[in-house]
Amino acid sequence: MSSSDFQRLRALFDEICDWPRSKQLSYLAEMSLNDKALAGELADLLDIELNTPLPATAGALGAAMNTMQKAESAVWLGKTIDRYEILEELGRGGMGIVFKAQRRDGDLQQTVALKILRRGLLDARVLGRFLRERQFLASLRHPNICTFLDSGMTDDGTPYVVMELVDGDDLQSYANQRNLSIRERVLLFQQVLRGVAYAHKSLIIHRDLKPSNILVDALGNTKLLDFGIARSLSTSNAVETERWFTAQYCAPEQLLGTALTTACDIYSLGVVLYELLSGKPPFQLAGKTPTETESVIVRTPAPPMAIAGAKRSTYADLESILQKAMKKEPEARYQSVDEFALDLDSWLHGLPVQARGSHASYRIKKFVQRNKAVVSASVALVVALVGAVMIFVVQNARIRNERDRAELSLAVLNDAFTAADPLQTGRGNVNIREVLNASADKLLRLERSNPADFVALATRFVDVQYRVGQINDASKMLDRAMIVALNTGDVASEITLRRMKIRVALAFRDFVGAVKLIDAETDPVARTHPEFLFLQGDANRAAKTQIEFFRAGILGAGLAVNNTYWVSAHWRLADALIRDKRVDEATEVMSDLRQLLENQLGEEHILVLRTRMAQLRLLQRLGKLEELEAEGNNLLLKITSVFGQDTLFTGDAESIMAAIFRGVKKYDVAARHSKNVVQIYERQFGASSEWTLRERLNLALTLELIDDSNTTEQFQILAQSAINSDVIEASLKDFLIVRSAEHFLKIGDARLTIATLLNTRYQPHFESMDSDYKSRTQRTLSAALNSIGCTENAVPSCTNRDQTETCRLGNQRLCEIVNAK
Amino acid sequence: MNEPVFSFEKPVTELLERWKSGDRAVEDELIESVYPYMRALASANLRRYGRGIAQTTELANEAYLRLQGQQTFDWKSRSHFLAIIAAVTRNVVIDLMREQYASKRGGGSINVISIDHADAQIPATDDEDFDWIALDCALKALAVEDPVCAKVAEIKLFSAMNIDQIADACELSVSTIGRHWRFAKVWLTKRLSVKLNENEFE
Repeated sequence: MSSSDFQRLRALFDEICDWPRSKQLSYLAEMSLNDKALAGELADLLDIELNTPLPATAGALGAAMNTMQKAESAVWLGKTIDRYEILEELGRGGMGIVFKAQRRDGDLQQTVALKILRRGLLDARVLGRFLRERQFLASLRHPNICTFLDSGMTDDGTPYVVMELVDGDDLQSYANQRNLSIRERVLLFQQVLRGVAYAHKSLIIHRDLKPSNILVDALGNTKLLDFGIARSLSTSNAVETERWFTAQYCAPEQLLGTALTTACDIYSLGVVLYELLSGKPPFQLAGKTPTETESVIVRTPAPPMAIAGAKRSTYADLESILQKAMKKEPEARYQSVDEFALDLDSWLHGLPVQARGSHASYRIKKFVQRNKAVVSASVALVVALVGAVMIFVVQNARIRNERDRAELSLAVLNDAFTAADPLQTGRGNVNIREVLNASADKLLRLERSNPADFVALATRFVDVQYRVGQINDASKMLDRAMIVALNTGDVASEITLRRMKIRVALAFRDFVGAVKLIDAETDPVARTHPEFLFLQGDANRAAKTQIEFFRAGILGAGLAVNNTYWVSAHWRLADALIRDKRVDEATEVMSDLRQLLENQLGEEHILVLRTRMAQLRLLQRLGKLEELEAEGNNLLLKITSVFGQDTLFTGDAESIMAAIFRGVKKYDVAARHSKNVVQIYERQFGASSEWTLRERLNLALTLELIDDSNTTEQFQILAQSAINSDVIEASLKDFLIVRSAEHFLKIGDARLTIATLLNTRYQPHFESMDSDYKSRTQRTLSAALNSIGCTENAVPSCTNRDQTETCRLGNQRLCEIVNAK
Repeated sequence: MNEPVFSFEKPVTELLERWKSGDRAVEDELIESVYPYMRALASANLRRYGRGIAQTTELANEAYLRLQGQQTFDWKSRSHFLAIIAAVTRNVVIDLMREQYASKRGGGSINVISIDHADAQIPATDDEDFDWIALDCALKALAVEDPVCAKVAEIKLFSAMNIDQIADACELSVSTIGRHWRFAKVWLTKRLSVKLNENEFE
């Protein structure tokens, strides 16, 4: 083909590739009259485009290596090693290739599994020990351990191991094929524990426990493979020198290279059980670099399991058992396999499990668990960050690595916070704030000693502070970082910091200030950054202008699909489109976004779920109530199954549902959701936190609208919690109390009205009280006093001293209110 | 852990500096210089981890991290660097495969069973038996006609970069990259099947 032909072919292909097939065919027919060869070529390409994907778009090197290993296997087939004739390959792993082999030893015929070990695994010293320990390994006999038969070396010095041949499936496929219930899976796993317990008592650690190393034979007996081999492979001080094991199942201390104990097997067993029960290993390691993998294994706690089709409450105890087995610190895990087995036994019999621990610690642990990667990971990571930053200060020589680590921590931290507080309301986890402040202090020490690193880290840090809602702190750090950036000439950070400054201004709702900052940005690159365009959209109130900016920012390349700002720009774009009466476009934007995110990130990704939540609002505005209710319930189910019933995210989702249903006047549905929110928030934040109280108010108001019989009870709890709360602002407290009192008065319960307003723990400051609340308090109190017979010049009654006292106090309070005016 | 020690000659650092400042002419030289490093890394990974861990993606990432750690400057354009690494990875893969084929053909200790026999035993349908050398040839042919398209295909095949990153590395729009890849995919596929058929007559 000539070069000009190629150019034509290419141009034609690009042009007609997206045409409908019929149109393509008629075009090709016409074309073949003039240029048959090129038309044929083009037709071929279009056919291929239609029918055949190219194999393997990634992982070329891995595939290449597999091919090489295949050749390696071919080397052995049909050969005889010592007494064993190699028959066929059974499988391969990090340690080597396993073959089915026939023992030919005089009359003795036995089919065995023969594993040829990777040569690089053994150095001469270890090899000697490996061969010496044969006898010992062969003495290890247990029904749940695959029996070690022999080991040796081939002519060219490659070591091999001979084991009993187990005809069966690996643990995971066995359970899946038979569709075993959770209970049956736990029972099966108990067998595995028995095997490991036996080995531990013989002072052998496995070190490479994973589903593929656990087989289940035809009779349903589990068989552990490779016991003892690992130990023989390592050096005498029991510290790993080679990383041949599977990262997914290996304990943190194994990666860190510290001494190993039986606790490392307990960890791996936890991971195996986690996967056996939920079908998924706890960590998604695919595509991660060794460094990232290590960081996940060493620092991130396993997220709670999601078992399809099972209620979370039914396996909450199993969850605790797993969390205990998979503790990062070896000493926090079960002390022995027997202890682990005992707890599973308790679960099988419905008894309390040890893993849940004492009450106080259990609550804290539960809080952390419920919010999975979320709170626990974030706190752990902040601690790691503090550590990293400290090392940094001390040891300048290692600065580059430490800075990378700190940056990595910050990046992960950022994600963790996004998940912890998906609506970015910045509600108060005090711990996080304290830890962040401590980190900030450490960070500030770098201001002089390492200004360049200070700027880089502070820029990320500000983003974290912003995301957890600490706008004031973020603003301060931002100003300091900006000064240093100007001094060090770090232009890139300067641009990012200027953008953050706009974001902070918007968070303070300072639109004028934000617009000024936007106008002051002169750098052309900075001005075209998608996030800058989003901020321009946010700073503008006019729908049409917003639409333009959001569209431009979304289309501009550079932001990944999982960038929160990019995704949320779509929501705001849809919002602006609705305000501009372009409802169809808004619907399309949102459904396209959802489609894209689902394809790229999976259905369970937090951004997908949040997008679906934003779609609910759209349905609400469109008045599609039936769809709204159906999709709302679907979404809630999904969120609950991914995040658990008792998480903030679920609470927030329920809260949105409640608001939406209130908006469309379906108060019974709204009340149901509100009730769930109150329960979740109460457990998460406590009864007297602002968030619980606000939602409880919503609940009470909703119930009041439908004259529900529980209305008064809810207002009573609300008033009581508000009175007892020392964490809410005075104005909120005043409002909640007076609103409750108004309800009590309305239902004719004057005593409750007075008791609420005159509660001794409630000492309002009328001088600073909102004038609306003040007059409402005055009105309500005096009406209630009147209805129990107190008049301004009440005559003290001899029969009811209490009432007299009440009237006196009530009048005194009324005077206070009047005087404060 | 005994990490293989990799170190660069001074000229490599200079090349990187020049490349970083925008001098794309040094790219070929750079690829040649990074090659031994990637090759050693690939072999080390193969030795240490066996199959599974030695994926291209991880290899490229690891190379990136380590190179970054060794250099005294920041790599601002990660995408550009990964594009170079993709080219190096391609060379490493192809060379490893070539050696593999050569040793199969050349006899010696590996040649236990004949090629015909091996091919008959292993069905040539899955990715593992994909003809990488044929792919390399097809890519070369494509590069003659349409170098940009071939470059896009190379990055797509030998790195884990997503389309946005590739767009960034090639300084082209996302939609252009999409068009290039779509064409490269069908064009290469056609070439490969033709090539495989020709092989039958060898």
